[in-house]
Amino acid sequence: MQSYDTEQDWFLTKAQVEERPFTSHTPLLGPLIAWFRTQWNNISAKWYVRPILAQQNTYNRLVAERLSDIDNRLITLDHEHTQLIHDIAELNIHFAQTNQLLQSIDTRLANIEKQEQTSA
Amino acid sequence: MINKTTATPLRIAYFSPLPPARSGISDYSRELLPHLARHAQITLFADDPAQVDPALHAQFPIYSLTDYPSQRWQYDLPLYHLGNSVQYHETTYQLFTRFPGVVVLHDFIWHKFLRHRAVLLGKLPDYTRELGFALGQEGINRAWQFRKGEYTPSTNEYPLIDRLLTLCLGLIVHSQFAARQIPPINRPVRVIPALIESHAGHNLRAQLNWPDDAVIFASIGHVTANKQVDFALQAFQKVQLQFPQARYLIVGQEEPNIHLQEQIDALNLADVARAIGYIPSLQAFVDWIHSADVIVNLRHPTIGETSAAALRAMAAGRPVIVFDQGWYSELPDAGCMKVAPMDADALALTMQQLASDAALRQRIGEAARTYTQDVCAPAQVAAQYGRFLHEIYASYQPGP
Repeated sequence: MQSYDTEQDWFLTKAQVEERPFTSHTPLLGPLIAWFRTQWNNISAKWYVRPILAQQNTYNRLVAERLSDIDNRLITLDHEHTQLIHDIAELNIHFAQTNQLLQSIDTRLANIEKQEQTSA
Repeated sequence: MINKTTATPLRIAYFSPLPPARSGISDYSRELLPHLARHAQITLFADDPAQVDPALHAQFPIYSLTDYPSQRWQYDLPLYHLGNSVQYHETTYQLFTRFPGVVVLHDFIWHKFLRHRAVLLGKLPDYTRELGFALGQEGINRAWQFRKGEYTPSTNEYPLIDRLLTLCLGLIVHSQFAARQIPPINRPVRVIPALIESHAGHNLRAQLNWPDDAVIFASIGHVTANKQVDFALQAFQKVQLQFPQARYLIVGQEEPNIHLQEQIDALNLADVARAIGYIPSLQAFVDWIHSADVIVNLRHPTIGETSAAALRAMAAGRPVIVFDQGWYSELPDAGCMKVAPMDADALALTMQQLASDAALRQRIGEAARTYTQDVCAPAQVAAQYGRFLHEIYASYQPGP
């Protein structure tokens, strides 16, 4: 397992697309083939692909940054939501206490009414 | 313990694995409940009430966990026992996150539970959420690295109790070691010692066919890698050379990756060491403790847990050898033998010392028994639970 570099945003580094050098595994002629492909790429594709690559990287970075922003908002909402659940649990206790108090007042009131009826 | 609003007992909804579940927390609840019932009106909630020990049905009303949401108004406080077994705590934890209450955190490193449920139950998004909750954006990245197999966050470095702390109405832990690791938060926290009921035991040595003068060392309880039974066996090998009458007994179910018999054979201890596997009844388990002269109760690394097995051995008046770290450091020096973690020579030396000195074994065992009677007796522990629950409840009552 590789260790994690806290200084770098792991997701942002994954979003960066880069040109790869041409290689060939063909024995003996491999370096020549790779050189030829590189030269042909320089002539035919490089100047066309590079702006697209830059555009893709800009888009990837924007997506990564926007996802990171959404993550941060979700984390904040999660904290707020969790705190609210705690607060509701506290309210539940108050509710239970109030409920019991009302029941006991009800009982006492019934007793008082009963006593009044008896004395009357 | 009285609810001051109406002078009725505090009504507690109690959530825990319950007997016959094969869980230390289930045994804990079995011993706590009869005493806690003197301080509160208890209703039990379980995954499957039909499976719960009939003895508990006779003492308490028991409902399904699914009944709690509609019944919750009938209770003053919910009390949740949480440990890191996904099998026994998943549904209770889900309920806790909806209807928080007071938590008894038996395993301080909550990360283990969260990772197990992520892997075993496929709850990887939940794991991402928990790491994000605790560590922010960095946690999200770490969770995704974990999902890609590039990195495994350290459970000890990140206990991940943040959500649990935010949600709970109060927290009970069993050691100062665990309490010290709790980040500052505006929730009541109480250290209540682990409890142990003292049981009389019978000596089962005759079943082992070992010599009458054998000094029996034993490891007891579930055999996992961090119990370091192989490490203890290596130390025992040295002891056995000096004390041929020494024997080693292993009582408890071994995890599939342990292979105890192979370890015993590899150390040429087949004639003097024996693993007898899982013991289903608590009484038989206690009997085996009473059959040993010394209990070797190692744990490394420690994650802030307490050991019911160590306390059970101490309650039985047996000297216990522990590593000097975590909760184990808080045990009284007179009532156990502490050695530096993973120090093989120190462990062998301590075992030799105990093997050669019956009076020392007796003395330490007696001090251990006294400690458990003074500090860990269920009645005392239950009274502390009662006080803490009442304090929390009272803190929500309106002033005069």
